[in-house]
Amino acid sequence: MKKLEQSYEEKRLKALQDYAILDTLAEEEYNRFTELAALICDTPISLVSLIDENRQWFKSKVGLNINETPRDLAFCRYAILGSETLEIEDATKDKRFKDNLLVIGEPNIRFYAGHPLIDPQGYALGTLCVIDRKAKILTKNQKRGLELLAKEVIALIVERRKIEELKNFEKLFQLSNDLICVAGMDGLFKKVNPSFQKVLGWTEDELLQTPFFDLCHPNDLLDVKMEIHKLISGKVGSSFSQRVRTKSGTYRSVQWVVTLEAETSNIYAIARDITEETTKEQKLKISEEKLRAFFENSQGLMCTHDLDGKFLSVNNAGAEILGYTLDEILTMSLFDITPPEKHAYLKDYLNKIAENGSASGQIQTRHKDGSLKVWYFNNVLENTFQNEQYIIGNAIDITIKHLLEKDLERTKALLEQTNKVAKVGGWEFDVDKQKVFWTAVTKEIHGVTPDFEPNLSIGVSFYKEGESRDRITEVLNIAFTKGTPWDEQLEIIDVQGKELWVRAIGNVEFIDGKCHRLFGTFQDINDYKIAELGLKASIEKQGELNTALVNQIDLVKSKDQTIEKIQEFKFLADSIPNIIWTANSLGEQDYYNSYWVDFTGMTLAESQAKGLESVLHPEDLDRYIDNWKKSLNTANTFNGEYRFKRLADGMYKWFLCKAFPMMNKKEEAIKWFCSCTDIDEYKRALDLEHKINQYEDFNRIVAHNLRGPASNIPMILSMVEESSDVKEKEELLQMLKQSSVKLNDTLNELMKVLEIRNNWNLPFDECDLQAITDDVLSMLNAQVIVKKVNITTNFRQKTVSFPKLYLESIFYNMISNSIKYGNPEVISQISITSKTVNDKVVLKFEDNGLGIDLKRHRENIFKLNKIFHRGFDSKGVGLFMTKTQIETFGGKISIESEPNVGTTFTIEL
Amino acid sequence: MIKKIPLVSIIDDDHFFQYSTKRILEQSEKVKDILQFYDGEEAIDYLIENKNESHRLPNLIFLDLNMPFMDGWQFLDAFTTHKFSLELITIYICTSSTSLMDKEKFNKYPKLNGYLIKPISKHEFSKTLERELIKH
Repeated sequence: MKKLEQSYEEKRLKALQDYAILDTLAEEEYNRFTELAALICDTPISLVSLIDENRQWFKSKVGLNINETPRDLAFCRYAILGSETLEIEDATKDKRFKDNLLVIGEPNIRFYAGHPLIDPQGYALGTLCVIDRKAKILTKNQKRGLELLAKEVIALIVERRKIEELKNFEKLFQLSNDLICVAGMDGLFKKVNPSFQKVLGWTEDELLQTPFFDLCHPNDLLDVKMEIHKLISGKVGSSFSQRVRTKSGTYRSVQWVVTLEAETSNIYAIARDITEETTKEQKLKISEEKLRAFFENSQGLMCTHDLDGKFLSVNNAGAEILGYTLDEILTMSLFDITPPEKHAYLKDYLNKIAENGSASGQIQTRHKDGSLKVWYFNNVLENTFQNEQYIIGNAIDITIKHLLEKDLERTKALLEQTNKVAKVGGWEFDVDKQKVFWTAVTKEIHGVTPDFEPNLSIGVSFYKEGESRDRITEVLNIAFTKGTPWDEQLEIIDVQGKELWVRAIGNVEFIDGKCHRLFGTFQDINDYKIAELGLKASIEKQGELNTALVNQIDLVKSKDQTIEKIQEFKFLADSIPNIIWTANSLGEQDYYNSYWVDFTGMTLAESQAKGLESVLHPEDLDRYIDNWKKSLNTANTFNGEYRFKRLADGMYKWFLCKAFPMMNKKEEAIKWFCSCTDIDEYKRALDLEHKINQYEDFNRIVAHNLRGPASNIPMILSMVEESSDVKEKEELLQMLKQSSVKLNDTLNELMKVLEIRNNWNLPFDECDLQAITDDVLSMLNAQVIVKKVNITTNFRQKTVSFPKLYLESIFYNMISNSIKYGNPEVISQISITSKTVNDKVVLKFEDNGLGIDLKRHRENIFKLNKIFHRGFDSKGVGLFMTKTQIETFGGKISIESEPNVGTTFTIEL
Repeated sequence: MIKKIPLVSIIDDDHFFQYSTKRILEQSEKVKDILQFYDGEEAIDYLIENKNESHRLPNLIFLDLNMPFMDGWQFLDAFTTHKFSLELITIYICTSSTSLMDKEKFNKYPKLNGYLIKPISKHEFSKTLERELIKH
């Protein structure tokens, strides 16, 4: 806000300055207003006070003798803040003024009324004010009078200013050298300044009566009309040049600046005479264009350069010949396009031309791509307007001519040597000058242009990296140091990147133990070399073929060895006292060893004709065929025990037969190898052991279970004999009875065992496992209900071949045991499952019952009269009977159990 | 004063053997107290419980081999495991088994005092008790 006020104050001060009224002399017009104000307001003092930055300055005053006061004492500084009259009735009672020096001292102001002087732009420049030494107030009319007077004062200030400005413009108008005019839109001048007469010769009266367009040069008329039209149709300002006719009939070129004042439709125009400039410009332009055309169109090299050789200008053709763009070459000097070894010559030229004013001769330049040009030049020294010296150069390309001359010279000299040493391309190396020269053919072989200038390192670099380059470097070194000549066949890579074979022959000019010159020939032998290499390759190929042949022979030999191996295998197979046979992928036997032939009495052919059926035990046949088919289909090992008939006595012998498939990479069986081991003795031994075990069990039963109660009987009898006590006798007789019952029980169990064992040849029934389970559960129904047993079955193998009577007994024992020894803490779960594993039916009875501590009881589990939980009415018969039943018919039973977790019986039938 | 064996134990599941043996021991007047166990486990539990009170441990044990839950051999295993000394507690095997295999097993316990085959006569018990008395 404050900033804004300051900004306003700055503008106000600027406006005040522009009126140029401060510190001017007193003027009657202003004094009349102050006097009238004092009269109207009936005050001794009246002022026109203008508020400057630091003071109030009085343009007019009545009743006061000072011209100004500091601004901070001014009452008016408050008055200019508003647009209305500021009236102070009694300054001693006003906070703002009561301590003011003008109040407490001379002129002892009490009353003040001031009206702001506000200019048309809204800036309050100061006030018209009235002051009294006594307190008072103005009447309404007095106030209005003061206000009207204040407006007159500001009108006066503004008008004075306008008059001043007008005076200034008038002076400018009269004195300007430029043509200044006001014209109407009809093209007639309304006012012209004296310059018109000075420049054009026409008097003011003549001009005011002549339409402006009549003075236009005919060629410019349309353009001018267009410009004026644009101006009328809204373009703010316009600037254009034209030629205006003078009174003498010549034309002057003027540059117009024209604006249109819309309110008055006046055209204000200022023009400057630019005739002189235009003429000069035109002349220069023509001459420059001529020069440029000549310069640009020249096919040689034209240039200007300063005395240091720096290019000032170069023509297009010249730049192109040198291989640079104009922009590039204008940053360069003669030294940049000249081979370094020629720089001394160049300096000489620059000195000479500065001295003599002209020079001519031959000079060599290097193209951007490295190629050299030879020029004939003819240059002159010139001065610029500013009197600076520069050189105009003009040169023609004489490279080809120069090369031809040089070449001829060389060729002549070399021809003799070339003829002496060889036939094709020639070359020379001047050791002293370090210069290499190649004949045209040599260049051709390298694939370079005829103007190519070789040097030693470039020459060497053409040789193919590796063997060839190493070799040429080596022979050159030897030549330099010992003067030894060379003749090498090497590979180069030409400019086009083509590899080719060359024969490089070199001779050395050795004078006083120093190598001065190398020269020799250079021959393209690529075709010959390629043919030679091709021959070599074909010989190598032949070698490879030979090797392949040798390998083939080795392979044949190794095949012979394979045949030998097969024979060895057969010998081995024949020497093994087992049946060995092999079969093809279809399972057809294609080999039997001699053991088979001896055992069965059949040869391979007979065996193939009759088949295994003729020697296999009839009971084993189906099982054998099934398993063999299964193995063939799945490519899994064939494994089983089968009986084969022995020719010698017609007896069947047990064999363990195992056949393994030989797989190819696709995991397909391509051959079967089978061995059949005689396990007849082992089988008998097993049988025997089984019988011995049974015998041992039996023995145990007799020793403990029969002899125990039996031995009691004579004792009791003797005790009865000895006893005189009737009661005691009765007790003893009771015991006798118990012993006898026990003995009887044991005998019954033994009978059962014997009965089972005697029934070993009982026919097997095809038992439905679910049906048997259901039967047994119906027998145990009451217990199942009372003990809330949950029984599940999962018979993946539905049936089993076993005497049904005993299988029922086994199921009964298993299930009733699980129910009896259930864990009271949990709901009894019994799971019965079946599956087939390796041709056997495996039954599992699994429960979550009390379990058996196998660490203690494992060896007694299946023994008679053994119990594993106390407090149950157990006799230890069930598991004993179960085992007997299972084993009698070729099965097995085993147990896994953990106390309080459960028991699993696994039965294999 | 006739010396008596302070405590004799009979371990056998056979009720008649218990009855008859107890009578014979009582009639012999060589035994002060008799402890009867009908299974090996009952007996071993008692021994373990009274391990540190030697006056409650039997001086002599008649041990049956064939018992349904813990048999005589298992009792002997537990007896050894719990580090009871066969020098302090004399054990006689009493069995109806004439099996050579049982006899062979017995021979594996060299510190066992004897192997009595049922039926055991009064005379045999008498001799056994006397041998035990001499030991003390």
